Amino acid sequence: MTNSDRVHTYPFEGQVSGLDIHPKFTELRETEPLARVKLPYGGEGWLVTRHEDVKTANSDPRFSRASIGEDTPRTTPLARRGDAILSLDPPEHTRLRRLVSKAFTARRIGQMQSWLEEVVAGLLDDMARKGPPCDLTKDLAEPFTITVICRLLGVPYEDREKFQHWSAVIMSTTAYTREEAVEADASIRGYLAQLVAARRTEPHDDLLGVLVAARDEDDRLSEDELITFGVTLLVAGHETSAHQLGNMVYALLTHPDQLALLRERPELLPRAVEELLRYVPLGNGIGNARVATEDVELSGGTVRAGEGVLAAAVNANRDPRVFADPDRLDITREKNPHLAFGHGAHFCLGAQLARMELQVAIGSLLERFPDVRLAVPAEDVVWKSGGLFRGPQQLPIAW
Amino acid sequence: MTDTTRWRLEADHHSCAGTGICAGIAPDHFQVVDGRTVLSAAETHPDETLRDAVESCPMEALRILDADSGEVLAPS
Repeated sequence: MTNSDRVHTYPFEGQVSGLDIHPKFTELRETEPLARVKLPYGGEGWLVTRHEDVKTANSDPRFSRASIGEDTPRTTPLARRGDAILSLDPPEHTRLRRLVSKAFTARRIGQMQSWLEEVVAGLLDDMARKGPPCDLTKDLAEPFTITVICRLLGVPYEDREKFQHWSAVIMSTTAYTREEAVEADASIRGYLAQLVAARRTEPHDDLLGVLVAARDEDDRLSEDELITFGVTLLVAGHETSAHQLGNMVYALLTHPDQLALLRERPELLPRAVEELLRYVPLGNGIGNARVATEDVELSGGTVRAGEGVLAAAVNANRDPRVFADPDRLDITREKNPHLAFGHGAHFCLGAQLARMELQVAIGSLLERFPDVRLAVPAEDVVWKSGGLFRGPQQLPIAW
Repeated sequence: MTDTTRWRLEADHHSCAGTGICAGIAPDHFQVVDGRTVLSAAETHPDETLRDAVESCPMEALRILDADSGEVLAPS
């Protein structure tokens, strides 16, 4: 049986607010596990919503990132560059990933814990001095995650407003035009090129320095790949965890029973962060396409060679086949095979760092301000719109 | 390295987080079953794809040893 005679246009009708998931995704998971969708750019593809299918689409080598092109369905005006690590398949993907993967092992990230705690403590001190209300987004989530990626990568923190703006434009779906995205992409590439040039006059002990050495000494990547990798690490390195920290704190503050439980039992923190990773939808539910290189059987039918598949973690993470009571935030959930970081060769390079950042920030916030709460009614929180990621524009908190 | 060299593979199931990175890079050697990596064979011919997979594990849960000497060849 095929559903290909029916095409759902995305964005689906009707807005969702905050961290709500569009009911259409939930419906399709049950009625059309392989659903034909038409996206704003690149035409039609298949949307999969079941955990098993999302996992397969993420990890089965027959689903390729290198085969994506202008005619692959997407939600952003600009297609991703072909030389980005996210656009490559093994072994090309592995060649780039290995250049920096050692910096992101659980062991190396574990060694950064006390430094991350210091950075957060400093920001919480500033908040305490200012007094409530503070904005969790601008006073904690952004400065924390940007400080971390700047230090790791070797990007000056003072430049944050510039690259934050370029990132937001590149990651936009409807907030900016294609022309603006082209311009922002050129600007951030030019900016990275300057940082690279500086490392050629004087070696630096940071990830950009590592990449420059890999290019100049061992020719392990091209100049374009080097710039693109720098841009990817900078953008992915702060956009994701900054947004997700705001989302997670909002989720906790609007689930008082779970918040109280976490305060009572701080040892639940790692498990709580995993549950928040599962529960909190960072993306819009569509994700980035892969293209089948041969016919692949999924639970709802066959994807033919050359067709695009959209497999977002957001949907897999709410599949009742895998998670009991999937729409409930339960920080004591024990078995939690969420796909928030993906699965397979493209599993998030920064996953261990993100976990550590989220644990340190949430743990320290609750310890420092045990009575932390929203300073406005939950429905008055203003959310970002028109971008790939959700997040509160401001998250006013008091304590 | 001579043709007679054999590699021994080890997966530490306590550290394995089931990311699927190894299986994505070297599907002939690894698969993820119930959230943990399973080796296709404990011993193999040397294969650089395998080294890539082992070096890419963020949990450092995989090892390659020289089957004869027991020397650890990866991760570096």
